[in-house]
Amino acid sequence: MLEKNETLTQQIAALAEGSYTATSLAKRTLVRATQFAALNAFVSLDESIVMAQAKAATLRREAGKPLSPIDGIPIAVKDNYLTKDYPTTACSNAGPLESSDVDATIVANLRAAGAIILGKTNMHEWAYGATNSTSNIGATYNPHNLAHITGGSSGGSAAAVASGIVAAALGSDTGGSVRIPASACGIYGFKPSYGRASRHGVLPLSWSLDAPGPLANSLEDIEHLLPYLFGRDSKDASTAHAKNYKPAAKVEKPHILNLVGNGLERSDEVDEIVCRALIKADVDCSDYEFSGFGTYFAAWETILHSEASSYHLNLLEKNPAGFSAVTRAHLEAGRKLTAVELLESQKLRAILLQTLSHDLPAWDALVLPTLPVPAPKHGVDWQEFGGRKVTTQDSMTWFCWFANMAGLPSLSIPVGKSQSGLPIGMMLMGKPGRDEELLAIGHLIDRKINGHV
Amino acid sequence: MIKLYNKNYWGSDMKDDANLTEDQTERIKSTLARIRAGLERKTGKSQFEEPAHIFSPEAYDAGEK
Repeated sequence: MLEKNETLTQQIAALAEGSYTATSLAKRTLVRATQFAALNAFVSLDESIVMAQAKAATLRREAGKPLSPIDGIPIAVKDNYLTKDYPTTACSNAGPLESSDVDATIVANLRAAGAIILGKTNMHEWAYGATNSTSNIGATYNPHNLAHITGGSSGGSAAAVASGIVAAALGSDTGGSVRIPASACGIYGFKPSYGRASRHGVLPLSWSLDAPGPLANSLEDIEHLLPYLFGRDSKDASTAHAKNYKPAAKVEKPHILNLVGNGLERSDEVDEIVCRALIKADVDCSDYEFSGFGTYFAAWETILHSEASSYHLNLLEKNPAGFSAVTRAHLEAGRKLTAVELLESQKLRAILLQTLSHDLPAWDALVLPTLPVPAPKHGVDWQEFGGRKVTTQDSMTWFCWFANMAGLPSLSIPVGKSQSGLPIGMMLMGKPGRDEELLAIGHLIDRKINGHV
Repeated sequence: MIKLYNKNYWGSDMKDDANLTEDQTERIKSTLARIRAGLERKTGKSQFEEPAHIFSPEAYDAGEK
C-alpha cells in the first residue's frame, strides 16, 4: 500500500482525462483518511467543507473551465497555515493570536487554482520540535510502522502523503521540518531557498529560518505545486526579489560534495545505504571535510530560540501554561539569550555563507543523509550513532538545520530501507536561489536510484 | 493591523522563571550552556565586519496594502 501511492501527476492526468471526477477523488480521499485514522495525521477535516469544494471543482471541469491543472486535487495543509475554513491551532493549547479568517498566501494561491484544501495536519507544537510527539492532539504514527515516530514538525503532512490519503501536502521547515518527516516516512520533501516562497499566514517559528514547502510522492509532484509557492508577495518582505518558478534545463554532470567531519556522524546502516545510492546515481561526487559544524549549530540554535521567544512574547505572557513544558522551556531559554549573542550568531551566519560561496571546492550540490538514523521508536529519548549519544530531538535535526542557517534550497529523496524496513532519505542542498537547478540534479539522481522519469 | 506588545512585559510585572518546574529550569540551563559553549568555539577572522541581516527598505514598499 505504501509503495504504490498514486502520485499528484497521475491525479492531474486522471482528472484531465475524466477517468474520475473531483467529487469521486474527494470521496475516495475521505474514505482513505478514515481507514488511516490511527495515524493521527489530521487535526481537522470536515467532510462537508471538502465535498463543497469538490463539487465546485467538478462543475468547473464539466463546463470545460478548470482553473488550473490542479483544479480538484485534494491538498492537506499543516496546522500552522492560516485557513479560512478551518481553525489554526499549531497543535498547541496556547492558542494563536492571529486571526484564522484569512488564508495564508500559499493556501490562497492553491485555492485560486481550484485545489481542495482537504484539512489541517497534525504537527509538533508550534513547529518547535522535530519528533511530532508533542502535540495537543497526541503523537503522529509512522505509516511504515506504527511503533515509530514520523519525525516532524510536519509529521501529519508526511503521514497523510505516505499512507496515500493525499498525493501532496504542505509543511514548513525551520531546521528540517519538511525533510525530516519526508525521510522518516519514505516520501519526497522540499524546502525552498529562504525568501523564495511566501511565509505570509504561516505561523512563524523563527522568521529568518522558516520556509514553507511541499511533501509529495515524487519530485515531479513537487514541481507541479511550485508555481503556487514561488514568487513575490507584497505581504512578505523576504520575497521582495523572489522569482516565479521556472523549470531548469537538464543538468549533465553536476559536481556533488559529500560533507563529512566532526558533528556529521551517522549510523553505519544509514551511511551504507546513502553511499550505495550515490554509487548507483553515478554522479561526480567527492568527500569534503567541513569544519565548525558544532559552532554553526550553536548559532542556529541562538537565532531559533531568540526569534521564537520574540514572536511568542505576548502569548507567553498571556498564557504560559498553554504551552507544553518543553516548548515553554525553549521559549524561556530564548528570553535569556543576549542581543550580543544573537548578533554573534548572525556574524557566524555571514561567515558560513561566505564559506559556502567562496571557500569550498566548486560544487553544484551538497549531500548528506537526511537523518543519521531510521525513524526512532515512540518513547525512546536517546539515539546512539557514530560514537555519539544525542537526544532523539537532536538526532532529527542533526543535518537538516544547516540549509536553514544558510537559506539554501534542500530536498529529501527516499533512497532505501533499513533492515527493520524503515525508509532512509538522502538530502541534497543547492545554492541559494537556484532551487530549479537543485531539483534538476535531484531528478538526475532520483532517476538512477528509484527509476522515476 | 499592528499589535503593540503588552506594556507590562517591559516592566517588572513579568517574573522570570515564575512557575517553572525543576525539569524546565534544568532544560533552560542546559540549553544555554550548550549554546554558549558552541559560540565560544568561534574561531578565525570574519571577513565581514557585520552580521548577516536583511535591511532592504524597498522590500516594504510593495505598493500594495
